[in-house]
Amino acid sequence: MQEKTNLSKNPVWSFFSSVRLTLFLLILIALAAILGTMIPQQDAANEAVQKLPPALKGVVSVLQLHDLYRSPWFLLLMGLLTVNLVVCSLNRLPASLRLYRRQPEPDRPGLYEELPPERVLASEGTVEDEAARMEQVLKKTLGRVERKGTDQAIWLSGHRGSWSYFGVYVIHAGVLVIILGAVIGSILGFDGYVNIPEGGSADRIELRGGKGVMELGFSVKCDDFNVEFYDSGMPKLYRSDLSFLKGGEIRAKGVLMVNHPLEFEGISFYQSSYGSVPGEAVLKITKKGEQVVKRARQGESFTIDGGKAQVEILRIEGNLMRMGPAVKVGVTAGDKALSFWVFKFIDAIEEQNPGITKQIPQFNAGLYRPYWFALDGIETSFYTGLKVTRDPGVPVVGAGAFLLVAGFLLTFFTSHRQVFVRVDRKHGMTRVCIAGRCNRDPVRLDREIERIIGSYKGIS
Amino acid sequence: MNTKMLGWATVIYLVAMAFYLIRLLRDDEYWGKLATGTALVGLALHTAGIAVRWWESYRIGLGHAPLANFYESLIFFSWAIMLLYLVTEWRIRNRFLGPFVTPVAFLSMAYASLSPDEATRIQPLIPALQSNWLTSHVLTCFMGYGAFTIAFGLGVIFFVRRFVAGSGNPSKGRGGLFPDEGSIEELIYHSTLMGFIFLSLGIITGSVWANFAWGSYWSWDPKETWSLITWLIYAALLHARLVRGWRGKGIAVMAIAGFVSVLFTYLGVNYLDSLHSYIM
Repeated sequence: MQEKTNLSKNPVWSFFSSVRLTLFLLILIALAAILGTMIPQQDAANEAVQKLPPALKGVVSVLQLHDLYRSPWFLLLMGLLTVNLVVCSLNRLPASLRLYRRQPEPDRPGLYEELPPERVLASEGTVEDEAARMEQVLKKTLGRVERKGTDQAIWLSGHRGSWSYFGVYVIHAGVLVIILGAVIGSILGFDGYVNIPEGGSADRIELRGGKGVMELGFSVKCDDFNVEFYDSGMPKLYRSDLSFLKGGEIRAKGVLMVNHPLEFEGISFYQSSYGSVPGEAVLKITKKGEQVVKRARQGESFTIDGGKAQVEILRIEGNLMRMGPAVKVGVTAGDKALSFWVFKFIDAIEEQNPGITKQIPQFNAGLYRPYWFALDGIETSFYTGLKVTRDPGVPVVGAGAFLLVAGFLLTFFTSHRQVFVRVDRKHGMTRVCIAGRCNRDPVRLDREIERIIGSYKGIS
Repeated sequence: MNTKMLGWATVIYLVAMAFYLIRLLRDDEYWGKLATGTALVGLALHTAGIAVRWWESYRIGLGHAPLANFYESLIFFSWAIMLLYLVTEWRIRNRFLGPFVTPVAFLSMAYASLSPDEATRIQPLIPALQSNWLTSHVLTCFMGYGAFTIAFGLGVIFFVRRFVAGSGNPSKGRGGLFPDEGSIEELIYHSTLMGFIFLSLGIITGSVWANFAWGSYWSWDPKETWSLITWLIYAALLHARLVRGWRGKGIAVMAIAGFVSVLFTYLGVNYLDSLHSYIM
C-alpha cells in the first residue's frame, strides 16, 4: 500500500496514468498516420520531394515525412502510448483484483428492499429445508455457493464470471504483445527483394530501403516461371518453380505462387513481381562459307572453329543507341583479342550511315578475321521477382492478436453475475428473497434468476 | 439474373426509406409497420440476389464468394447495413433510426447500379485475391462498416433531436419522436462496440492474409493505415466513454467523425496509391 501511494505521487507516474493522455495520443497518432497517407512514402517519395520548394524540402527531411512511419517522432508517439497503456493498466489492476477477490455479502443491508414481487417467494417448509433446496438449485447454476446463517435467517450467495474484470487487461496485453512482435521483427528480421531470371539463380538479395545487399547462405534457382491470363487480359496465375541449393546440391524444390509462399531455412519467399529481360543471344558465325549457330547469355562463353577461338558475350542490349538489338562480343584466339558490337540490323544501319563500319571499327562484325558475326536475334526471357523476408516477430504478433480477440470475448460477452438469497420467516410463512448484481449485461442476470426460480419451484 | 434482383432490392429500399420518413413525420406506426415489412422484403430479395450471384459464379466455374470487386463490396456493404439495422430495430422495438440508416443502404446500392457492365459481371479472381482469407476478411470488415453506419445514423439523430426539440423543454416540439439523449447515446456505444470488434477481426484477418500474399502482415499501405486510423478513433470513443465518462454530444461527434474515417478507408483510399487498388 505504501508503495502505491508513493507511485501515485510520482509526477511521471501520474502523467502516464492519465486516460486523457491516452485520448490525446490516440488522436495524435491518427492525425500523423493521415499525414503519412497524404505524403508519398519511401521509394515513391524521392521524386515528389524533388519538386518541393527548398524550405518545405527541409521540413520533410528534418521530420522524416517521406518515411513517416519509421521516423523517430512517430516511434516516440507509439512508445508513449505503450508506456501509457502499461501504466494505466498497472494503476487499475489493484481495483480489479479487489473486485475479483471480494466475497459476495448476502446479508448486506438494503439488498432485498426493493425486489419485484416475483423475486419474493413464500413457502410452507422450514427455513432450513427451503434454504437447503435453494442451495441445491444455486449449486447447479452457479457452482460454489456460500452459506451464512443466524437463528432468524439463512443467506446464500453464489457468483459467476468474476474473470470478466480482467478482459480489458487481456485486450491491453494483446496490444502490447503485438507491439512487442513488431519490435522483434524490426530488430531481428529483414525484408528484401531479388529478381531471378528463368534458369538463373541468386544467392544474395537487395535489402529494402537501400540498406545494401545480404548473403542468403544458400542459393535459389528459378527453374521455370509462368504467367497465365484470363481471356479478359486479367492475370490468372503467377508461378515460379524454385530450387534451393546449398553447396551445389539441391536441398529443396517447390512451387511458389501468390498467396502460397515458400520457406527455406527460416527465410520466406513470396511471388512479388515479374518481368522480361534480354535472354540468350542467337549468333551466326561464318568462316569461309561455313556457318554455325550459337546461343549464349550475357557473361557466357563458347568456342568456335574446333576450339581455336573463344567467344565471350560481353553485353546484350535490346536497343543500342536506337539502332536495334546488339551484342558485344569478345573474341580471343591465341594471343590476339578483340571486342566489337554485332547489330541485328547491320544492313539497314550501313545503308543509312554509309561507311560507318570503317569509321567505327568496333561496329564491324567482321573485325576478327576470318570470322564473320551476325546477330539473328535476342530471345527475351522472364525473370521472377521475389520478396524475401524473415520475421521472427510474426508468431508473437499472432499471439497478441489471439489475446486481443480473447480479451474482446471476455470483456464484452462475459459479465460478473452475483445472486443473493435470503430465507427467513415472515407472517408465519417461510419467505425466500432472490436478489442479483452484475457489472454489465443485466438482461442475462435476469434470465439466470428466472431460471433459478423456475427450477426451485420445479422441485418443490 | 442476380443484378436484376439486386436492382429490385434497390427500388424496394427506396420505398422503405420513404415509408420510414412518412412514419417519422406523421408519427403514425401504420407507416412504420409498412416500412419494416418493405425493408424485410428488400433484404430477402437482396440476400437471394447475393446467393444467386454466388451460385452462378460456381456454375460458370469461377467459384468465389461475391465479395471480389468494388461493385460486389457496395452490394455487401448495403446488405450488412440493412441486416444490422433490422436486427437493431427488432431489439429496441423502435423505428426512429430507419430514415437515417436506410438512405446509406440505398445510396450504396444505387451507386453500385451505376457501375459499368463489365464490373457487374462475375469476374474471375486475380492471383492476389485467390485466397481462403478473402471471404472472412471482407465479411468482417463490412460487418464493422455496417455497425459504424448504424452508430453514425444515431449520431446524426442526436443532433437532429436537439435541433427539432429546440433548446427549451425537450418534451415540446418533435423531440418526442426520438428516444431521450441517454438512450441514443447508449445505442451509439453498443453499435460502436460491435463495429470495433468486427473491424479488429477485419484487420487481423487482413494481416494474416497480407502475410501470405505480400510477405508482411503490415506494410503501412494507405488502406491499412486508414483502417488503423478508424480503429484509433473508435478506440478513443470507447475510452472516452468507459473511462473518462464522456456522455452525449462528444460521443455523437466521435461517432460521426469515425464514420467519415470509415468512408475514407472504404472509398477515399482508392484515390491514393494503394496495394488494395484492385478493389476499384
